[in-house]
Amino acid sequence: MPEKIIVADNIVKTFDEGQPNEVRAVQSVSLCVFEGEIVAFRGPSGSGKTTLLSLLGCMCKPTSGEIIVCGERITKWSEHFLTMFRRKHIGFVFQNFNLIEHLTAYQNITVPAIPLGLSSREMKLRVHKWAQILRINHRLAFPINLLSGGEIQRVAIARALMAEPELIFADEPTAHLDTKLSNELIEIFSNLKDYGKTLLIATHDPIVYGSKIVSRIIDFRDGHIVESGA
Amino acid sequence: MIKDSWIISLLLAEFISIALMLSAAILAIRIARKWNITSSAKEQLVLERQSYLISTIMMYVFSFEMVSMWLFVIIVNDHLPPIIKGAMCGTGSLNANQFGWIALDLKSAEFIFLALWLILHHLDRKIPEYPLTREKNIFLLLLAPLVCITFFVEVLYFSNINPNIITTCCSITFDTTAAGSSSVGIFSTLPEEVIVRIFHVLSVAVLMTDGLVLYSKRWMQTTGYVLAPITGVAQFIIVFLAIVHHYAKYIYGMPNHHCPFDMLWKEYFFVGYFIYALLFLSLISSLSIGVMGIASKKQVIRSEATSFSGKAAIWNAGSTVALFVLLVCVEWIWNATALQIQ
Repeated sequence: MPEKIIVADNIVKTFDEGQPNEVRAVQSVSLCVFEGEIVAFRGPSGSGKTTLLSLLGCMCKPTSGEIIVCGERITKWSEHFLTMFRRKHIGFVFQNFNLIEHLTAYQNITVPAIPLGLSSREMKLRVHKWAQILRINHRLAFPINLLSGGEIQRVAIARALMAEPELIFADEPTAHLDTKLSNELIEIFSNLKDYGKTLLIATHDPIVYGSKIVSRIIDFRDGHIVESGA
Repeated sequence: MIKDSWIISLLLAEFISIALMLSAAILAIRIARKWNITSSAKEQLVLERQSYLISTIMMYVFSFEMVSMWLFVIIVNDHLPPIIKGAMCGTGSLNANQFGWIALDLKSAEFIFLALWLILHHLDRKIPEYPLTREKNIFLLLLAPLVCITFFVEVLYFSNINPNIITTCCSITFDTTAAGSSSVGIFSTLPEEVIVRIFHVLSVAVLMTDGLVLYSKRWMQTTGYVLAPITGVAQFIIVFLAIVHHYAKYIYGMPNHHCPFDMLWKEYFFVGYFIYALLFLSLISSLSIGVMGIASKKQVIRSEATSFSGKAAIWNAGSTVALFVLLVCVEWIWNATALQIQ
């Protein structure tokens, strides 16, 4: 029986609380994710998927409720400790990649390893390991702006994996990809599952949530879980 | 006197440290009032970042204070005596007016409290919830006036020095045959042998307390955190008296020389710096056991506080033993040398 890696209990996230422009992005969400699962959060734009990923990924704190990630109750943690925790346990693939344009693919991938204090040898080994798995080792010396959309996406994934985290969060990972590249990405995610990673994907792309690799789909609408099932 | 370049440098450095401290205090007021680690509001995030800024400022203030304390000692012990009539060392300089000893005492207190603040901060940063942030900032708000008062007293001291008025120096102030003045006060009437015995007994008491703090967590949380600071403060006072009354004569090789400042000179191999550094280390570590004991009342930090108090006990025991050995060695070397001469 796999262990629970994420537990969210009745979490609420309200932006600009008490203001006229108050937004309740996540409302009373409870869920748990098991080790090795690939969970897809499905829902239309603005349904709160990204906010939920940010909460579960320790990028922000909930207004109320409790979140346990990798056995740690992170809800009352300070920003500094959340950052340290995220650095070690969580990899993020952002919707817009958030790569640094004037750096090469290699340099972009090593960015999360700098605060980890890895030696340059260890860094090099890790970059080449993930670059090989993601099939971008021939493009490592290229600046980001000379890479194709699929290659950029893979660089972003390699960067998320650089710290060897247990959890990978991907926010609309196929938003900028065509069908062929989206299928390639699904294959990459499948490989990551084989490496024992747990993936949480926010998406409204049927190629992603309709693929066989997804263990569970959680339907999300107006900040609520509407339906959760295999 | 205030126009002297050394003094101006010292006061300027202190002024910078006060400006930094006051800016930290302004931020600390907000944190002490509004800190809520469970809040997800932007304001809390801002407070957390301001809290990091405060800790950086405090580390700089502590560094400034450490240097300025050394500078203060250098000024009163080396730079002022040739200028002030009758002064031959720091004692004479500090006796130049009524503010000298108060300034030194306040500076020492300020240094100790700043060190304790940093220890509290270190403990707070060990726990993800930062459980001592509010208390730490309240402590900072209490420290800010002390830093300002110390600066004000220093200004009063330096500006009121009249080089033409003859001051009394160590031979009178620390004359163990009569009631002394200033720092030694009423204790100067105690016989030398009694003071040395009390020093020995207290050193053993400090070591026993440290041993018990290390051995029993429960004892540390109930009795040790009160006893350790008490024995630490008592030891601090009695060691100072033992130095003046007994060990100084071995350091200087003169039976009637009891000055606590001359030992900071090159002629005496700067041995005073080692003695006072160990003395302050011992006091700060014993007080920090008290701070840890109070902090351990909070469940979330109990384990870390207890573990830290163990480390503080080791530092305290180490500095106590080192101080004891150093002073006993000084006496022993002198006695051995005297025997050889005979």
